Amino acid sequence: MKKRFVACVMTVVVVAGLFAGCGKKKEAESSVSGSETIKIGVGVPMTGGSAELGGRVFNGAELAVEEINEAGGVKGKKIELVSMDDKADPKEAANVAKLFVADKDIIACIAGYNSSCTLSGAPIYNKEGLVHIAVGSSSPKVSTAGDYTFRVWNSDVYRATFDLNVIIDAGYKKIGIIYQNDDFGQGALEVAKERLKEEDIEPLVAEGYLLGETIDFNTVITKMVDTGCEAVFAIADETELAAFAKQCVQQGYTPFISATGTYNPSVISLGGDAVEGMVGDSYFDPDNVPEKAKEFFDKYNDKYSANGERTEDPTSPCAYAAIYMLKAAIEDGAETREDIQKYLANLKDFETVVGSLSFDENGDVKIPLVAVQIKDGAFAAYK
Amino acid sequence: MIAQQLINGLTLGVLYALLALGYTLIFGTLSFINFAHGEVSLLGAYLAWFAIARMGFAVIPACIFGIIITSVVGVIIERVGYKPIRTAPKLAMITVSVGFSYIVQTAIQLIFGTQPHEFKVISVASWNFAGITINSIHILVLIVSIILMVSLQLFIHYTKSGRSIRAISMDQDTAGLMGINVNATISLTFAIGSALGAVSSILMGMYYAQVYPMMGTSIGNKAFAAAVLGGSGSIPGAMLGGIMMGLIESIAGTVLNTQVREGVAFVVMILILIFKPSGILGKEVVKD
Repeated sequence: MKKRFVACVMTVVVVAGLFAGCGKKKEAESSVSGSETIKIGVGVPMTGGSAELGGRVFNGAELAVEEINEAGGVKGKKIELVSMDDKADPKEAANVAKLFVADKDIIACIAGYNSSCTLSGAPIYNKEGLVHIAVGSSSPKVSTAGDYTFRVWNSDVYRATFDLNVIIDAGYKKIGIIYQNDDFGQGALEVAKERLKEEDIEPLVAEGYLLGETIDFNTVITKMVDTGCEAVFAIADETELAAFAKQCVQQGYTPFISATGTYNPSVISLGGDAVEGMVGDSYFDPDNVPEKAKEFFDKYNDKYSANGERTEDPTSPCAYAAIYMLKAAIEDGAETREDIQKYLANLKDFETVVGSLSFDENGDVKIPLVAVQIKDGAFAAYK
Repeated sequence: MIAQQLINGLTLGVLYALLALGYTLIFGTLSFINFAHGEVSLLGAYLAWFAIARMGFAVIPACIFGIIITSVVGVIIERVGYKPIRTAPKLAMITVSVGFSYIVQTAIQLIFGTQPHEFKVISVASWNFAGITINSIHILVLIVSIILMVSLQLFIHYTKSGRSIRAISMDQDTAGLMGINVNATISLTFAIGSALGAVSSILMGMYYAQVYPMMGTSIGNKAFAAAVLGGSGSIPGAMLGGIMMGLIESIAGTVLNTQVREGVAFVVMILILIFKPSGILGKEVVKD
């Protein structure tokens, strides 16, 4: 009897929910002037394998929003961020995309940190016509993901080649590669292999690892020692990069390492002495940071640094810049999701903390890079 | 190169073995797989890291602190989560343990943060013998693990509490009738299992020089496979299974590559189960 009653109540709730869903669909399309606040979605990993960098994307966006709101908002309206966690899992990223496109109050998104997540969400955003700006996804495939997919981050066609060139220019011929085995790593690996082919170099070892699964690099390191690799090109982020470097030292192996993920303060805090000498890329010379970026990092560290440590990373300023791009679009009169797409597609020479950015026909930007090296526990220009 | 890979594999293997012992001890007494074991064990490494990095403990007191608290958490989870449903179908306990695995993992992320932390404990000295590099962490891991495994065997076979654990794993009801305190013995099993897990995760933290929230899940899964491979409920089986798992991974990584090795362990587990469902050293269970 009691069970039947519960079942009845639940049926009513479910049916009511269905109708509520129908009602929402009939509501007017989202528009800036029709709502009280301007909602922007942020869909990045807050937990899971890329939580630390996803957190930096969110912080960068939040910092921009706070500044804008303190200055009176956009067209008199406050911006509100709607945050969802994609857990660095492409399945979750697709769910996040569905929730964002279904929420008609959301006018645009900063979504996708991992390339695989950006690519799994992209078809949904493009089908429903909601702009998503990816921060942190470097796979060349993101370029062709659709008109509504933008990114404020370098493609690996540029970035991975840049990092690999450091090794080639230093004259190394015996090269080993480790890569994250997903869309990011495979994209960069392809680019790297082509570049090596031009130099007539065959990598002696090229092995993938699984994000969030692999922690043991001892076997691949032993192989690198055995084949005599003098330099290692690592397509990896902070956790694995530090683990790899530490295990190299444990085996008494000291190759020259250039990596895509070097420029991240966590590499130094995790890797300690083991990452000394590691090379990578940054947007600016660490000894000569432009005024604008310095200002940004001061604000960032004042707000988010837990233990008073001053850090600089490439991710947070890109997310910060992306929010300002959306602000510019709305100020320019963009009312609907479609208007935002049109504005961004034609955005040229937009001044940001990471320099002047223009979107190309694929929704990509090119942020000029400089080589950096870890020296005495800090980043310095690589010469 | 093969010798070096065997050292790598053996070190990893004994770490799996320590963790697998927790699965097997609990399986032995309660006949269910405690899926929260990997996460609870990871707590040990996090607590030790916290004590060193944030509370200024010396290394050894910090490790003892981590091991004791983890052990207590293991016992509390058993009392709160498993004891009330001990007579329910095993599926209920398994489901509860999956729930606890998420709770503990989320708690770790909330308390200690989602980012990885450097676990810098001892300075690494390495020695080279004929092309094989052995360092202080390899030696530490091997010595501590072997001492613990031998002690566990002695404890189980030659102490009263050890005999109680064995009696309960044979027949819980009869053991109770013979005057064994079933609740206390089960708590003891959880305390020992969690403590061994904590030691394993602390050593693993030292070996890889970092701790991160997902570590418990990925390594716990392999230790679970090792326990099944060796024979669930069999203590020597868990040791053998763990060491085999480490060696197999290392060899697969050498012959094939790093991404394949993550899956090879499970392929081997499935193959062994097909041919010997009770695991290598597991006893055939006859249901009456």
